[in-house]
This record gives sequence, structure tokens and C-alpha cells, in this order.
Amino acid sequence: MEDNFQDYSKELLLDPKPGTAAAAARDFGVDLTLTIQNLRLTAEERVRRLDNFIEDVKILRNAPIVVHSHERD
Amino acid sequence: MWFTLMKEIEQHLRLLGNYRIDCVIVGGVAATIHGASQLTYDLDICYNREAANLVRLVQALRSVNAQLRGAPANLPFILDDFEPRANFTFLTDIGSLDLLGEVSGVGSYLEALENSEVREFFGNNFPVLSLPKLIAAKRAAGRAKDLNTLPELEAIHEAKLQKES
Repeated sequence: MEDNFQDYSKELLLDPKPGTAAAAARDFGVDLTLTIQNLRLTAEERVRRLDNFIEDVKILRNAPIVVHSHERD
Repeated sequence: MWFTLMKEIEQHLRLLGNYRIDCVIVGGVAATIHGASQLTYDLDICYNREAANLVRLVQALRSVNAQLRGAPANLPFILDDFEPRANFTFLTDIGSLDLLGEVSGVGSYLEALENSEVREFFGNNFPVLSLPKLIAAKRAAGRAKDLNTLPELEAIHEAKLQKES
């Protein structure tokens, strides 16, 4: 079973009406444009995207500190 | 090794597929599969506790040198370790993998399976906890990190329901 972006109300997520879950999510701080971007992908593409993020975060966490902030002053 | 160029979640999914592990994908990766944009760093599965599946699971875990997180190093995981409890958090050669015998708000593997939808990933079919049940599970878990994902999951669910109606 595969999601199809047509299966979702894009309008509801782009322009949430008051009282909807989409409006609550937006007010909570969820960037629904990212959600829409995810919904355009296949499920496997969503997992690959997550994996890429995890990999990138690992690289950033292991990045050496080249210059300490106080040394730049 | 065959998976060195692949990423963490993909490698774990391929491992579970290759060893024919009976399990349902739950947690943050299930949320990602349903379209959520929030990040997670490990794969949570609810697994079948029948003997044959446990044997395959131990083989799969040993193939990636799985160690219980927080346990002494170089302590191999054995079949008997499944007896006293059902939930485990592992660190493997690939990354983090969490095994759940039961999912809050849903139940055991069979109940999770009944409330799942099959998706194909990386050449294997996996049951993924359905969006309504994932929402119920997150709500029942009640931790801040679970509750924080609810608004987006509910918005996705609403957008799908609206289109269906």
C-alpha cells in the first residue's frame, strides 16, 4: 500500500481553517509546509530522507572545533 | 559488509527483512512513514514473541553485534534474555534499535498487526502501525516527546479523512 499525495487535503494543510487539527498543529509550531513536502514523497523516500538527516546530524556532532568563539574576538 | 554504504534505518529494515522477523514498525519511524516531519533517531518495532521468531531475532541481533544499551560491553544477547522481559533497547553495529513486546494504547504484536498497513521498503514488506493507532499509542505513552508529535499526526490524519469524505 502506498500513499498518494492526492489522498490528502493539501488545502487544509496550506490554509488551515480555525478549529481544525491543522490549525492546532500550525499554532503549536509545526511547519506544515514541511509536512506537505513529506507527503509528496513515497514512504521509502520518507525513510531515506530521515536517514540522511540522521547521517548529517552525526557528521555535524562529530565535526571538530577549529576555532573557539573567544579566539575569534 | 553488505550494508556499509546504507544508512541506519534502511540497514535495520533490511536486516529485519532478511531474517524474516515478524514485527510491526511503530514509533517515530512509523510517524515519518505517515508523513510527519519531526525527527527520530532510532527504529522501534513491536515484535512477535513466538519461539521461532525469537530464534530468528537472536540470529539477526547477533549478526550486528547487538548490545543492550547500558549493559556491560561484549555481553552477547541470547534467547534466554527474552524470558524475563519484553522491551529492549539495543545498540548495534548499525545504530539504535528498540524492541517492544507491547505498544502503549495498542497492545501486543498481534493487536499491532491487526491495526497496521503493509508498506514496501527496500525490497521487503513491513506492517506499519496505522495512523489512528499511532496517534492512540503516542497519546497513551504520554511522554513529552510523544505528545509533541501529536499535533502534526492529527493534522495529517484530518487531511486524509477530509479528502476521503
